[in-house]
Amino acid sequence: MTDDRDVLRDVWFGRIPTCFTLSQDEITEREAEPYYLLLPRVSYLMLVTDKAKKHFQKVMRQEDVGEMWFEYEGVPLKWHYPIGLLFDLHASNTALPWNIIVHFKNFPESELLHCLTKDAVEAHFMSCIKEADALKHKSQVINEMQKKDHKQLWMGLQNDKFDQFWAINRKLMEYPTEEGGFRYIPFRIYQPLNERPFIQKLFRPISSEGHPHNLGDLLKEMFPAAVTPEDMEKQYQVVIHGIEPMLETPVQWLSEHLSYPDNFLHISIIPLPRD
Amino acid sequence: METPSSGRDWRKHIVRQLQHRDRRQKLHFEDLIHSYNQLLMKSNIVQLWRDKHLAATPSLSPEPQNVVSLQSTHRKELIEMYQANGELVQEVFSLSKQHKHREEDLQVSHSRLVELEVRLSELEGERERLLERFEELEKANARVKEDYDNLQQLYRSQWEQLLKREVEGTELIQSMIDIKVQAARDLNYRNEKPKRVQEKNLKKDLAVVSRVPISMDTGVFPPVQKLLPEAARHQEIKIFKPFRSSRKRANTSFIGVDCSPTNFCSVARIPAKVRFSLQEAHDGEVNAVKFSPNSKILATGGSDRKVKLWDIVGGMLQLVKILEGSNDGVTSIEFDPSGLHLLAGSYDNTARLWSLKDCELKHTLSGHSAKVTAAKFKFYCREAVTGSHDRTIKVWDLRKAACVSSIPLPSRCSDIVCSDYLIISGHFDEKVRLWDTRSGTKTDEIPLQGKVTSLDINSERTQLLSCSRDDLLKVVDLRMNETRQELRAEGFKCGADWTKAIFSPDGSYAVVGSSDGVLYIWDTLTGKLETSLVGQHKSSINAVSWSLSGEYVVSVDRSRLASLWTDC
Repeated sequence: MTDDRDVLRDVWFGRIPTCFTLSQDEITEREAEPYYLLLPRVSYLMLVTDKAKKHFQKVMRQEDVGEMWFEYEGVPLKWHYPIGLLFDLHASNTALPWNIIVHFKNFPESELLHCLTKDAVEAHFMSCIKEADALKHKSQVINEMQKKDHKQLWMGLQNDKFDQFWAINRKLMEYPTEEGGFRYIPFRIYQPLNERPFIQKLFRPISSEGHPHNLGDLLKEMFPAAVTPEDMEKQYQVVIHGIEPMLETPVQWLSEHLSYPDNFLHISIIPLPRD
Repeated sequence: METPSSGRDWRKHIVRQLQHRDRRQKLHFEDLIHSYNQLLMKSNIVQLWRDKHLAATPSLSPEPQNVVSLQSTHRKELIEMYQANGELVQEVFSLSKQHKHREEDLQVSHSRLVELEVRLSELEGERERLLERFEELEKANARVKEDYDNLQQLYRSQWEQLLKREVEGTELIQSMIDIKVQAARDLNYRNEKPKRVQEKNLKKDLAVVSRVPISMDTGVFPPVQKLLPEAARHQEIKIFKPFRSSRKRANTSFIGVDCSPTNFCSVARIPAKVRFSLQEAHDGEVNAVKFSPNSKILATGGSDRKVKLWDIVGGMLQLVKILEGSNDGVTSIEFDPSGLHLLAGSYDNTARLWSLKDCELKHTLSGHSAKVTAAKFKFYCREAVTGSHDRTIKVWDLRKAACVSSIPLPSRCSDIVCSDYLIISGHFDEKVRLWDTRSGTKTDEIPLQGKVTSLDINSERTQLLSCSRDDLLKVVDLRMNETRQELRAEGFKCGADWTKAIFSPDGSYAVVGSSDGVLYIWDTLTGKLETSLVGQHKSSINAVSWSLSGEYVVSVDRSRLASLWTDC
């Protein structure tokens, strides 16, 4: 369906306008102007911020430059989350552009992982894909692929090439017709300000009777509070890729079309802002 | 995947939401951020340029009066920058042109490559076809070759058959000729009957006349007188002989010895007693004895190296001539059918040929490396065959006295007889071998149970007599190649390795001498022993000979005795 294809394209080319500002703590020779960027939702922070890094390093002395890390409203941003997820989780209802503070020193060891090269990002990305395929196909599809296919996935993401990426990714989105869907749906439910990083459990896309599960069924099982009974007020927003899908949406379709490039369905549940 | 009607709602909802989101988040900011970045880049460049400029001219201070000069210098630098920019643009342009050219070239090469690939596939197709054709041709070739081989084989077998047929044809012709010859001889015999009758009458008359006393008045009849006693003597001798012999008288010349052949003998007579015995016939053992074809002259050979020629006169043996020349004992003697030559084999590894006209040694056939045990004529004086203890049989051309061929044998040869196309040899390895002289190959082998000591062939050349050390005589039919009779007798012992047994001239009897000096005679048709004759021999009889006329049998033994046997 062309609709489905449009959905895939819109998901891939989604952008978030961001304003990078150098932190006040940093010692600069000159005043640093803020750096504006349209960040791709589906990518990772460390992949797309080279220009910002150069921009800010120009006004700093060499010896002051440590590892770059980002922070929003006091929360250090984990580089191994996709950018879209970070935005939905922390700043989805705030005014645009998204203001991120850039730090070069005082790396928060306890909260962030180091990311010295892009290989770390690649390793994390590939492991997410493998985990997702383990849930979907018992790792059969990903293991059948050659190393060059894995490389193609990564290069497609890194260079923002929709066709290159989806040429391989569509194989991961296939399922035997008699099954009706994947074995289990790879998803993660995030909440801001939570002890647990995310909720991830086994969930079948087709019920034992044979009718497909939808988003409502998933939430009822995993996070019942998000599903508001009829008469009560809505307390939580369920956001994927910056939109709130209807609860009748089948999870199989969601997993095929609204997954991030790492094949996971990252769902953010944020409390509704009171007034 | 089927979508229920409500399914479209959520899909549409999602599409709309995404579009809304993009509008809000992306589109509004896109241009702005882009322009911002451009300005940032430009200000960076200006900054850089300013830094560079400041670094180059540190003394310059930003004072108002210098602003103008500063501005002018800035403008100049700007112009230079623009120029540099222009050049760079030019370069970019030319590079992009080059790139386009390269792309075009690449296109061309691509299309050429495609063409070549097409051509390649065509050529491969052709190659396939050619290979197929090649294979077909090879198969056809193989078939043709097979045919050729088959035809070749057929040809060969046909050729062999042809040869066989030819051989059979010649044999048939030969047998026909033999039959015809036999018929001619019979005819001759019958034709001479009236002559014989005439002779008989003449003798009768002469006998009557001789009884009439003749007055001794001389003068008138002296020549007659002289003649008559001679004639009477001859006649006396003649009386004792029955009329069955058909011997013709031949002239005896005293220069040489006349042994010209007489007529073929029809009936042989079994001897009954010793007519005459000659002691000291030779100075050593007497090994061989043979009658001449006219039955008048007897030849004996012994280990005293001499060949002696005897005349039978009045029932006695009288020495006529001694033929010398052999360097060692004589083993075998043969007259040629015309009676002009005598061939003798000897211990000195040679065979010698004497001419009887002048009793001179004509040829010496040397070439054997051991004693020659048998020397026989083949083809009426043109060729001779010798057998020897050096395990070869040699065929000699008598005109040149040279060896024509040599047949190697597995065993020592003790005796040889020649038929028209056959050479038959007896060997110490208890076998008799038949050789075909036309093809030069062995045609047959007859095994015996003892060393073969002698062979004899009958005058029709149809039967072979072999004597072997196991005291057995065998009569073999040569045409059928089977043993007709086996002749044995109580008391008969083969005395030596060279004991000779012979057929009677008509082939109906076989006679041999035993080791105790007794002569044994068998009937070859029935195989029964006819008689055994005890004479004056005290030692083993070496050889016997039966005259062609059928009257006399002579036997010689190791103690130098020669005995003349006759039937009355």
